[in-house]
Amino acid sequence: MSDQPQFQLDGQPIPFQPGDTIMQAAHRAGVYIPHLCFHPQFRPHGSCRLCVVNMQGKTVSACTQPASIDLEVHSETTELRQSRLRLIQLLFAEGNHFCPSCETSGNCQLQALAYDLGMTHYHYDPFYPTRIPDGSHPELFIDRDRCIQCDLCGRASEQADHKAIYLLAGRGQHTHVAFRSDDGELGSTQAQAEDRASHVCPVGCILPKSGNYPDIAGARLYDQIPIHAQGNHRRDDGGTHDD
Amino acid sequence: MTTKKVRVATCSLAGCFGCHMSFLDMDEALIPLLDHIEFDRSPLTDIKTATRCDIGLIEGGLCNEENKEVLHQFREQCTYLVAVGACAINGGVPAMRNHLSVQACLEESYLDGLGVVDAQIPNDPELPALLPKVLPLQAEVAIDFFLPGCPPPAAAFLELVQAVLEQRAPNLDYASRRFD
Amino acid sequence: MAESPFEWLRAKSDFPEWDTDLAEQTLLNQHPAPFRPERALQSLVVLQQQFGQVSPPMQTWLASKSGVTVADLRSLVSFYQFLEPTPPPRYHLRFANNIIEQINGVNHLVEQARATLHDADCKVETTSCIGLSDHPIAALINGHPITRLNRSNINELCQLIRAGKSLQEWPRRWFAVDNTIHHPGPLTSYPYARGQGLALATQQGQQWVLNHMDASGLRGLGGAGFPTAVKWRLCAEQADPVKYITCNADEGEPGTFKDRFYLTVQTDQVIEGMAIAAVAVGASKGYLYLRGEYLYLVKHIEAVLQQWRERGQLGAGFDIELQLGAGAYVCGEESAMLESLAGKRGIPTSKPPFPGQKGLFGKPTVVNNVETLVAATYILQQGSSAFRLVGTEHSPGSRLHSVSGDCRRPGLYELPQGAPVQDLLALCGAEDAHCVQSGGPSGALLLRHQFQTPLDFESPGRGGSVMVFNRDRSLWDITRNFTRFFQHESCGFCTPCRAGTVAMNHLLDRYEQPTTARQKAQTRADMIELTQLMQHTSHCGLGKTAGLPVLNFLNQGAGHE
Repeated sequence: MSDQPQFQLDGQPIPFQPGDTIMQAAHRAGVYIPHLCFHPQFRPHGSCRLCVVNMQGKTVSACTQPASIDLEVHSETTELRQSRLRLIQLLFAEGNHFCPSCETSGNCQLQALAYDLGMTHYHYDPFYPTRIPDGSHPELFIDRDRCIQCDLCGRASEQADHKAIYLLAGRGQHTHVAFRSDDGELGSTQAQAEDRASHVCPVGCILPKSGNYPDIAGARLYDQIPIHAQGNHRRDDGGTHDD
Repeated sequence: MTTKKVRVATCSLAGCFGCHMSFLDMDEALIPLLDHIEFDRSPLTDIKTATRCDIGLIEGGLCNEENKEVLHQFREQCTYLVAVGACAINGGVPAMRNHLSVQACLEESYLDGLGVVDAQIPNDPELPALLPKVLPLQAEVAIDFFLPGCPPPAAAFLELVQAVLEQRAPNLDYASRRFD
Repeated sequence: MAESPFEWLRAKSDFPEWDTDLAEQTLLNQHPAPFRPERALQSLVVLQQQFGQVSPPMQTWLASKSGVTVADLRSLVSFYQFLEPTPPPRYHLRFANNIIEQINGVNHLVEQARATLHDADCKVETTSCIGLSDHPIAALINGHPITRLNRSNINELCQLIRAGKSLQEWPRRWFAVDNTIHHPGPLTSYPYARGQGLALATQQGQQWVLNHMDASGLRGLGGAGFPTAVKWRLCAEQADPVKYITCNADEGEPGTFKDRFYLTVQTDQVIEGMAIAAVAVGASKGYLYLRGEYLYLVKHIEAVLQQWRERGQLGAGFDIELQLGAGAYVCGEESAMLESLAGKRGIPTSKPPFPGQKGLFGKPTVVNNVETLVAATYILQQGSSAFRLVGTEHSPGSRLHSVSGDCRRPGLYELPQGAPVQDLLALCGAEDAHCVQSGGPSGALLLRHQFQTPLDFESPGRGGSVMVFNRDRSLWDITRNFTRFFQHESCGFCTPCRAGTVAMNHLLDRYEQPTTARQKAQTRADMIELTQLMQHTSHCGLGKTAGLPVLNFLNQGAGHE
């Protein structure tokens, strides 16, 4: 233990293994750094930027920054909390997030982080983009209004399912999740409800067509316990999602 | 606490009055509160025009010209203007029409929709013109506080009023920060 | 035998019908193995050029030949602006909408063209800077540059389109691109002896070249100013035997056109620079990544490359392949360019690892700007001390500045590093300049009292792109133009840039509207905060700097709205 290299995260020593990112090491040590696109089982993406931390005068994403010895990393600062709040607000403003009617409400990691960061409103003008849903699959529904372009589905589909069904397409604000089929519809792919990719979406974009709203308000994942205290989970992952 | 009663105005723009219901959900907490607050314009009083107030609670977003006018009146009259609920904060369910043109919405509702009888688009000049997009309150005026939720829980209203009475910033606890 | 799709001024502006044999032949003419997955983007570019579109059936065909899925091809088409899935109009007119074009009235021309051509088989669009700000107003017609458009000749142009005249029948002078150097310097006027520097490099060997470059103090002239020797050495030190040299000719920074000059006039020096870099790091393959807007330079560059091969200076140990971008500014970011070269969407990758460690196809890669490579050639032939004769201690040498806007002689000026802005303004005839945007939209806005600022890497006014504005220009219009540009060019990968550039434009909309003092102050505070958010949390340089025009405006522009 004492031989293992360490860095400091908010003054706390975090041991790390060679090749670790700051996020991987912190995650293993049970220290929460807010994140949405990071998942310990999949390669890092670095797109949501929620995991920004300060390190030697620079702001970097913890999920892509390699850990190194004697680093002094700061995460829970007033400035970074404010930056994360604004990033979350940008994510809300750029999509169409109607929480009251969303199947994932209460179990949504975007929403849970917003709660945790004290968000009460969007701050930015909502973009109200027009995004096309996909209902072609018999068991799955795609609501792109809620997509945050994190590519977790893409990575899970490739790394866990070995199907590589999901990908990101478009540019800029028109970036969107797409599917590897000739007609571009999910229903024409080999996607199955049991796939890992069907159960990795941190928001309510990839959903089963049935069995939604199983829990009453108050009994859902993030109704009582904030995300920083229990980590990024989904209600259908048996508590293993983020471990 | 201040001795003078805090004057509160409320209204619903493009909303469903659900937030008002939730306000009333304070139940017995309302009784002692009434020693400290009084209502101005509100569906609870049936006063139609707001006068000088301490708190203005607005639920619902902006979907027509009249909404904008009422909002500006509230902004002028209220020291603290509060956007109450999902619709006031981000347009909410009414904003789901923002992908469509107003004309398309009217045609679906009044001409082509299922079960429409005597199809015609209402055109009474007294009807306020619809805005091209449903907008949150913040798009039009400065907002002092936000109570998220659909509706915000009664506790959130209570905390807001208490905070104004105690002349401090409201502090919504985890359970009161709800988007649904 | 299929005609090369890059033939300058093709015989007709109509495109042939989709034909798989013709497609295959065309692709094979361009590359011996066009169906390798990493060639997907290049094949789409070639097909776009040959058939005027990359329609769904064409994508399906390419997918079946290359094994790249249709969805991946679609995602490329949806990313690169110059790839069009729909049938081409007979004429595709793309006006540059850079601020220089805007102050010269491009908006009027666009309106005029749209009104006149509304029923013609012509699509009128705008696009980001096309590297012709010294000849405003510039446009691309079916990929060919047209310069010096104005309110009178636009009518003539519209009439030609209405009459269905092929581009060959259009006045030749419209297509003239002037590459005069108004003020030459060492890099643009020395007695270049082709291949001499490369011969010396080959003879002296890797370490000598690296030390020599070190001694020169050359810093990357694409904008970032990173020491070239350090970059080369990092790549040279990697154990992987396969290494690549890439030349970044994705000159997208609005107001810049120096690469257009180098690639046209000093093409040999660019190629030689790449070959020298190859010696320095031990690479056997080089790629020249040319922006799609410079399609008209392809034929010339290919011809020069062929001469090098025929002389045996390329081909044996080291060869260079030309690849094209397709309308994406972000691909000028080095890691995005490498992604694009590998046939993917131009999304910048996380650093570390740096390209020198893990770049193109995962191999150690040098990425140098066109001008840096020209400078390397100069240093090898003339010596590092000759290079250091001008410039400053920390920014040695000289560089070409692309000057555009309100001056009598817009164009190219080579000045020593560290020369003050006012010297450049005096040379180009901009006595009544009111302000200068130096280094492109993400650079510095310098007002008159700051014109003594040196143009070098240590100062805010780095130069490169120098856009000059007189007192009549609205700083507000400039800010809006730049901010819209960044929104349009954001790759969409990370939250702060993808959503932040849009939110910034919303804030500017708000700022413009009549409102209360309280809201105005709030909007101003929001803009400053968003700029800082983007600066600190964005994934790459585009997002980090996309808010700077607004900050420049708020700091410098008050009262000049």
